[in-house]
Amino acid sequence: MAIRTRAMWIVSFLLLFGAMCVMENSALDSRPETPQVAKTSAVYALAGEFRVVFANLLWIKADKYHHEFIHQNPDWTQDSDLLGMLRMITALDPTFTEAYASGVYMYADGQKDIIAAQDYLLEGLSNNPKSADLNRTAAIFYARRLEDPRTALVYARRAQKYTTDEFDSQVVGKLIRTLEEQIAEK
Amino acid sequence: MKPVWIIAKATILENGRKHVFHVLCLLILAVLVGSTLLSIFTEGVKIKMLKDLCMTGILFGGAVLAIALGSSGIPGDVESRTIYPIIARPVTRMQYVAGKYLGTLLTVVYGLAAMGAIFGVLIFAFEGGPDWSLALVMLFAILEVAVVAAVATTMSVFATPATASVLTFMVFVAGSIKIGYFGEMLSKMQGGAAKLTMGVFYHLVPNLECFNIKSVLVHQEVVPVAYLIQVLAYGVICSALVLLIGATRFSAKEV
Repeated sequence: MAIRTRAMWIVSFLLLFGAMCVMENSALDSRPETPQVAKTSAVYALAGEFRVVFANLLWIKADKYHHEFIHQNPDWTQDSDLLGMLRMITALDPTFTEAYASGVYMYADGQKDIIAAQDYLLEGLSNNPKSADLNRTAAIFYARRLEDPRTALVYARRAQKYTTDEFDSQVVGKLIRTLEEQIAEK
Repeated sequence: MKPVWIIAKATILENGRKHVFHVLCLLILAVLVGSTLLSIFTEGVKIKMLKDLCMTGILFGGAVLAIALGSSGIPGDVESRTIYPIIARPVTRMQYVAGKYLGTLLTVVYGLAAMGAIFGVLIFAFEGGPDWSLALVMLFAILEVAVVAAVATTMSVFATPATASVLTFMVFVAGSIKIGYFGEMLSKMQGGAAKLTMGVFYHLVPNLECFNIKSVLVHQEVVPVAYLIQVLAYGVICSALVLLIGATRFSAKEV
């Protein structure tokens, strides 16, 4: 009797464990896509949930240094020392769109490195495809820096689609009209 | 079911009198309020920062509360000998463990409810309106805490409160980075005994990362309903399995 009871317990444990594994695997299959950085960065994985806190604290420091810099030099894009910090922030929290947007301008205008700016922008967009801010930054970047209004228009339309703010929507609407005019002129 | 509920109510009263519960709750509430001071320094990302810091505080605080209360409940009763009049009554050992677990979980839920209420008020003050996705995020935070409390209760059957706390904390850390770190490590491993061992370890560690749906609140991301239902079922099965192991061991243990 005791052996039968023990066997029943063992079977129950195994069944529950099996059900748990099946449920976990099927949940992981339907899990929303995580940013690409999350799959590659050891820093990101090991810092666990606190990585986001570290990213926010770094952003506070970056903001402080930024204001100290513009006190000396109004052209904030020249502050290349901040780029490492922005890179670390986006490695810790790939959803930090503000850091991506600032970094793109620093690479493009401060460093005059269009390739690095484009790479950083595309990394930000692949991690945050539905960010209205980053899509708008991409539209302006493609229109002004790369003189490619057709690609810029695609990003501008995405920005308008994802923005939730009425004022921003009107600003992007104006940008879309300008880009359409540029394409027509070409 | 009645004996389980009676033991749970007694556990809630007992936990409510513990200093660790009040201290931890006040500490997390201070972190929540303190995060508003941090976020005012940065224009543009105020709300994101507030939500990030508060949710991390709540998730971590809830887990620490569950560990502290869960790992000391049963050993505390054994040490103070209050367990003897309980097990002398027509109460099975399994009912006793289930009651202790339920009481611990409900105490932590009270704490989380207070934290959630304060967080809701802060969001209302900053955004000018309520954010109903907070309720969903808090529900899954409670589910995470339920798994951690089950692990802590089971560990306390096998080890002393201090050892149980440390071991549960290690499980909590491993579970929090399971998909991002262990999952990636497993996928990069070649076949063989090492991969098999890693696979067994991977499935034995509870996946706490899947309960964290903070992005719904912070980035207004849409999470599929199917995913939420599967995670809910996973949480319930995982808690039941871990608790069953503890209850089975406690049934056979000399007290």
